[in-house]
Amino acid sequence: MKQLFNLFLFEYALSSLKRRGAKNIFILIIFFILIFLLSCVFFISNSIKYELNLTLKSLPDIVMQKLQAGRVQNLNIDRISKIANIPGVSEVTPRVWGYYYFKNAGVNFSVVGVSRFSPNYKKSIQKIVNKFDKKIFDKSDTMIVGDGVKKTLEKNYYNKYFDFIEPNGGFKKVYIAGTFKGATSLESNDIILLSNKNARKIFGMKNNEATDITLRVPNPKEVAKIASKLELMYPDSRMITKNDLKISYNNIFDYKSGIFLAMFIIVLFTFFIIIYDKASGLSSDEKREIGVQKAVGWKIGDVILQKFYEASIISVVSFFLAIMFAIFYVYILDAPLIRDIFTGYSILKPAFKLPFIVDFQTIILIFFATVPLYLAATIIPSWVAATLEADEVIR
Amino acid sequence: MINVTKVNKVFNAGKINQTIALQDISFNVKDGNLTILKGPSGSGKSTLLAIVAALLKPTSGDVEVDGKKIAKLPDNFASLYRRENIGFVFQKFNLVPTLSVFENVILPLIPSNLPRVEIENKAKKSMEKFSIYHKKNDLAKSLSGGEQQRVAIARALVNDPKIILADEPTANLDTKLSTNFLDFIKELHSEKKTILIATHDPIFFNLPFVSEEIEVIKGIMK
Repeated sequence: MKQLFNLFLFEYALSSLKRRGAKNIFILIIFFILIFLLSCVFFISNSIKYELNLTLKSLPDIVMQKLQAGRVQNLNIDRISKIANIPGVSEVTPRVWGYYYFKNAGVNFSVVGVSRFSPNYKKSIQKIVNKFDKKIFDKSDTMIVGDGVKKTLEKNYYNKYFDFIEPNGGFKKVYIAGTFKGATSLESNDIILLSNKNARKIFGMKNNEATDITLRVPNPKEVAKIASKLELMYPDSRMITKNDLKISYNNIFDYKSGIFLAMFIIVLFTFFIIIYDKASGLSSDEKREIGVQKAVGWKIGDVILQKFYEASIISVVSFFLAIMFAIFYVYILDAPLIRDIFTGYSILKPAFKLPFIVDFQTIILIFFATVPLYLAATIIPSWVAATLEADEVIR
Repeated sequence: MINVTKVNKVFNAGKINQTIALQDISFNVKDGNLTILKGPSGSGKSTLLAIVAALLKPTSGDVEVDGKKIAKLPDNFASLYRRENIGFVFQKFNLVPTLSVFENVILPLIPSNLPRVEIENKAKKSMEKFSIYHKKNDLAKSLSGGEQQRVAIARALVNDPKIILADEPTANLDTKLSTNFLDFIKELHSEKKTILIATHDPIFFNLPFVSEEIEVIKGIMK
């Protein structure tokens, strides 16, 4: 009586893999590295894109910056009332913010001034302000810091306060009144929130100055028109729309993934050498074995099934191992080394946790980009050898 | 019953290196008979055996086994025919050197998808019959010539085929091992197997239990 599954054929395929152990282990390792790297790229990029999208969602529709000699300058907040009168603009907020270079750790913090009574430009920041309202504004020299900042400061023994160096060389001692976790890690990690007054002091700005002005435009179709109107009104300023920021963020990210791609191509190249080696024919031993199999009564289908089992074992085992390792590496270990390729930018520099974003579409895409290719490269030459007359092969 | 009728085989037909291997070969082997195909090396004996085993297709002519035409069988049917009817002992044994004795012997049974116990029993029986069971876990490449031949015979007979074809079975053996092989053949003959042996070894000539000797020289039957 015949069995449903030919266990002996499967065992034969296993033993065949074992017999050519060194070669198959090499292929398994290359295949593993390829899928592992590919998965890491996808997992990290998915996570960062998810973070970026969340960040972009909360950005203002238009940011107005004053330029002088091509560089961004502080602008006077007197223009706010005029801008607020433009039809279609629902909210105009002056921002006081900038980067503060923390030499000890070699990182930039994003210092953001917040206001108690006027609305803040971002919902997430407004939420934090509401939560820490008293801590920021009741005492004069306090700040609320993101998780990443807190950790960086603690590492340098600034557990309770931090001494900012002002542009005039003086020190501004500001106490840590609380820490927060933002909606996204990218957003929250390097941010320091303090009152506009203190922020201006740290940056050496006058009381009627702001870094830039943000606008809310509820109708997305009006954004471009309002931006061009503002450019006419203020020829010394440039308008950055949310769409511009989106393109800019994506460009930065794509550039970084490009570097990684170059590294990945090397592995891919090795993979194709293996495929080429497989596809260009079998060794004389392998051909002879197929000839013997045919001579003792194996059909072409039996030979192909054996080769299919062999190729499936190698590719599927590598695939699942690589996916599991990639998940562990990216989401548990936080992708050391590889993540640095994606994140070299100041706002990304402080440690942040990659959010767990694994979609099955990505995994299926990786599967179909690698496994069937290898299966075909293994099976086709075997099929060619199996269709030859057995006598021709074993003589 | 094997009927070979006007079989011709031309290799590389129409090319500069065209070789006429067989010309108008006709003979028959009755069930249970032992027939010797004799002739010098390169006379076409192996080609003739390969055609009877459906390992090779003749350029023209017919081969019938038990009334079924096998000369032009499609590949899959030819494989099935070999699996069910033929036990082939090759000149160089054609064992897979990196497989164990057991794995080599069960090779013809693997595609049949039989239960494990049945496969193991058949293999054991065949190995015991040819005194190679004690070496079942040894790799084929580690065996002596005589042992390899016994494995090749055990593999050829594991399916209990009706027809046994042997191509120069003693070419790689010394006199003692050749005599042993002759004993195996005698035993198989007594079991009423149809046997066709291609050889130029005189040890097989003029034996009392041989039904017929057919001489082939340069592809032509004498």
